[in-house]
Parts: sequence; C-alpha cells; structure tokens
Amino acid sequence: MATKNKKFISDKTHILDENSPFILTETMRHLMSSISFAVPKKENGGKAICISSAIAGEGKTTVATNLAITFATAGYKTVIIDCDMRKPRIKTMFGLPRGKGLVDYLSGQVSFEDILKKEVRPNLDVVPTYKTAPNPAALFNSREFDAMMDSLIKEYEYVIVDTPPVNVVSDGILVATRTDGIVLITRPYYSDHKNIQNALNSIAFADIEFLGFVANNIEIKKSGKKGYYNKYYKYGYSDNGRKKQELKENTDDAISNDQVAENSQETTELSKENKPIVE
Amino acid sequence: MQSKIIKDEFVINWKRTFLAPLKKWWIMLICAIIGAVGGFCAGLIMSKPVYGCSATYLVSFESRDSLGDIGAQLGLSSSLLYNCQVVANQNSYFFELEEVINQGIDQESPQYLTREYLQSVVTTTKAASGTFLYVTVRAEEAEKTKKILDVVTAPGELQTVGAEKKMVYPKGSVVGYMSKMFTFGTNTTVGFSLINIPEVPEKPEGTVSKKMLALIGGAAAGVVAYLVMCLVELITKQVKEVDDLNNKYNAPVLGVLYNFENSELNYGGDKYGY
Repeated sequence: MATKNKKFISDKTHILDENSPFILTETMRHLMSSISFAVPKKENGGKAICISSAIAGEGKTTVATNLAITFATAGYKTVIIDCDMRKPRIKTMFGLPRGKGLVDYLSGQVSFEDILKKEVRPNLDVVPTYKTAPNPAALFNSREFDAMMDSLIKEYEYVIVDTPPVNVVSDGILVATRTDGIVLITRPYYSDHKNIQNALNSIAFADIEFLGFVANNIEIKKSGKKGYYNKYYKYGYSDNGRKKQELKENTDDAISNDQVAENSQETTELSKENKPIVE
Repeated sequence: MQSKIIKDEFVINWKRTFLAPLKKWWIMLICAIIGAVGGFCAGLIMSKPVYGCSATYLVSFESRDSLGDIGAQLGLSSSLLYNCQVVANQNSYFFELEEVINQGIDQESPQYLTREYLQSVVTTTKAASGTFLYVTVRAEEAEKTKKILDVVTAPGELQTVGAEKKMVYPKGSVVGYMSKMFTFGTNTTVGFSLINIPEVPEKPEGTVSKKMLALIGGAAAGVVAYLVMCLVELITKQVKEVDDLNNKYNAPVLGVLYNFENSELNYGGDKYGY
C-alpha cells in the first residue's frame, strides 16, 4: 500500500506501524538482531535491555519504543517499561489513556496488574509512568522494583527499559544494574565525546554490561548508484511485485504484463497525488 | 574508574574538516554579504571628496659639454629628473610654500595651511619615460586646490639680471625652487616647460573605490567564515558520524537509525519495498 505515511507523535518522532517505510522497519530489525546477539546468553528467563544515553534529547524513548514494537512484531513476547520518572513519554508514544503508572505501583498504592497495559500492540505490553516522582532513586532501590523486574524477566522474552540519561541523574545506572545490558543512544552533532566518556565510566564503575552504541538521526545518503536506497530496492519487495501477487491470488487467470503496467501507472499517479491506492 | 572501552587514539579526519563546513554554505554567504556591506560602508566613510589636479612639466636640458652617446644622455636625464623630484619634496620648499600661501593669514586661523598639510596634498612624480615631471595637488576643497596650484605652478618671467636675461620665478613656485636649489653646472641649462593647463575639476573624485572595497570585504568575510567553521569542525568534540564511534571506542555500533524527517522516507513500498 503505497500511501504517504507519516504518523508523528511530534514533528521529530516516528512510531512504527504497518504503514511505516521499509527502510525504517528494516533498520529497526537490524538493530533488534544486533542487540539480541550482543546480550549475553542466559539459560532461562528473558533478556532485559536498558536503553539510555549520555544526555537528554538523543532519542532514547523513540528508539526504545520502536525497538519494543520491532521485537513484538517479530513474535517475541515483549514488555516496555518507562523508568523515566522525570519526563515519562512512553504513554504519549502509544497514546495510552490516563491511569495509574509505575510510580503508583512502587509507592504501594496499586497492584502491578492495575498498571500493566496488555496487548497495546500484538505481543507487546507496556508499563507506563504517568506521575513524576521526587525520589526516583528510592523507588528503584525498593524491593517492589526488584520483584517486578524479576517477574517480568521470567514472563517475557524481552524487557525493554527506557531510562533517563546516565549523566544527568543516577536513575539510569540504578535501573541498568537490574538488566542484562545497556545500550547508549548517540546523535551526530549533538552528543559530545566527553559526555559519552563520562557515561561509559559510570557504566564501568557500576559493572554494567555495555552492549554498544546506536547512532540515531543519521542523515541518509541520497539515492543513486552508491545510494543506500538503491541497495535496499534490490533486496526489498517493490509495490509492483506485491500488487502482482495480490492480483494473482484473487484470480485464477495469469496476469498479463499489460495489466501489471496499467496498474503500475495507476499506482504511480495516485502515489504522486498522495492518495491511498487501496481504500 | 576509566572505562576500557575508551581508546586513547586521536584521529583527525581532514576531508570532513574541510568538506563539512561547505554544507553550511548559507553561513558563508551571509558573512560574505555582511562583509560586502561593511566594505561598501567603509568606502563611504573613507572616501573623502578630493579635488585633484596635475601640472605636467617637460624637463629638458642643454649642455655645451659633450655628454657622450645617447645612453649616457638618457642616464643623465633620468638622474636629473630623480634629483628634481627629491628637491621638490624637500621640507625647505614646503616652508617657502607655507609662507607664500598663508600671507596675511593668522597662524591660529583655520584657513592657515600648515607645512604638513601642504606636504600631504602636493606630490611630485616623474614619468617612466624620463622627461616629464608631474606636480599634483589634491585637496578636499576646490578653492584650496586652486590656491595651492596657482602658487606651485606660478610661471616665471624673463628678467634682466645684471648682464644676462634669466627666468625668474615667484616664491613658492616649484620650478623656481628647483632651479634655485639644483645647480646644473655653468655649461648646462635645464628647462621646465608646462605643457598642460591644470584645471581644478568641478566635481570631486573619491579616493577609494567603494565597489572594490565591497568585493574585497565580501570575499574576505566569506573566507574567514569558512576558515572559522573549519576550525570549529576540527576542535569540536561532538560525535559527527558513525566512524567517530568506531574510532574512539572499543564497542560495537549496534545500529544506525536514519533521520525520520527525511521526506524521501515518506514513500512506502513504491520505491523502497515494504
């Protein structure tokens, strides 16, 4: 379906869905594969991955959200936890209605079942945070948090944890000690080597497994012979190919080349007008 | 505790240092425009109205002695002209000129033209060809230029001095001063013939070309902006591309996520598969 798709939470975020461009979904799948290989193997229980960054604004929450969606889409039972109690955004990413969140649970006001949002996407559950807490470190050091993490790691195959920046507050490090590894998000012309080094030193001091970096918001090279697009076009399915397959499945007769060309022309014209081709 | 992931290497990417600033060409353009405007404004300020006028003298000399071949004669004339120029620029000439021009004017008066001022507005140059002497007066007011020019280029009169007839020049005349100060020898006479009628122009001329200053200012500002951006690119410690992470740290880059704002990413399926 070659529609113009642009689902934004803000002007600069894109949450993956069934209409997302191939290049976005493929890069997230690549990241998913890399992370799953990077996490140390465990005999039993799921893998808990902490997504953080050196400073704020590098794209942690967006990457964590899309990564969780990618794992879920791939068939893994996944949960994403919003451990950023100063700027909780996971609820906004998924458009969750107002309710009780992680702060309420760790404060002992509600049970875990009351805050767990099940099947927000297929195979994906969400533990959002609504309230901001004045003492997040104390909450993360509590037995309730440890118990919650142990329970989630047993139940889910992948636990994605969105945390605050490592250099700004200590929450990220505290939460990461309960996970199997931490991934640092960086942005070009935004992240500073000094900040990254400070973050890595903090991670090393806490004896946390550092899985690697994710380079976010990289400018894509233009299409052409050496362009990134051209490489993907060769390996990805074109819309013409998919439409041909659909037509073939719907009819018993073989599809002539003329009919494909006619559909292709219609597809191109409609896509130029940014109208949905298949309503 | 220092992370073992951090490498101690220092790598400079010269190609990126000089190419990356070109992506922000608009900064250089803005700086060039500002520089051009600044140069133009500087030209407006520096460019003062000047009323310039030049008197051309044909210098000739006649000697009853044998001067040798033409090469020797040309060398002598060139040397003669050089000496004339030196003499005309002496302080004592300008003392004399000051005395004549400021006759009847109080020294404290603003209309009094000092020796230093006269030296700045009166210049003497010789032609490359070797026989012409130019006396140029360039003052900020037409009246001043005319007043000075009249004194400097005052013609001489043929007068009988003793048994001979001699050309006598009034005080302040540059030719008179040169004739008085420069002894050419008893058998050699030097003549200065004014071959043009110097006239003070009605409209002033600017000393500085505003267009040239604007061009120079714009180019200089653009180049300086580019060099500053290169320097900033070199010294900034930000992560610039994925290779920076690979070079600086012993850790993998698990994934590269592209700029979601790129409009080309909005096409799904038709171009890039699904």
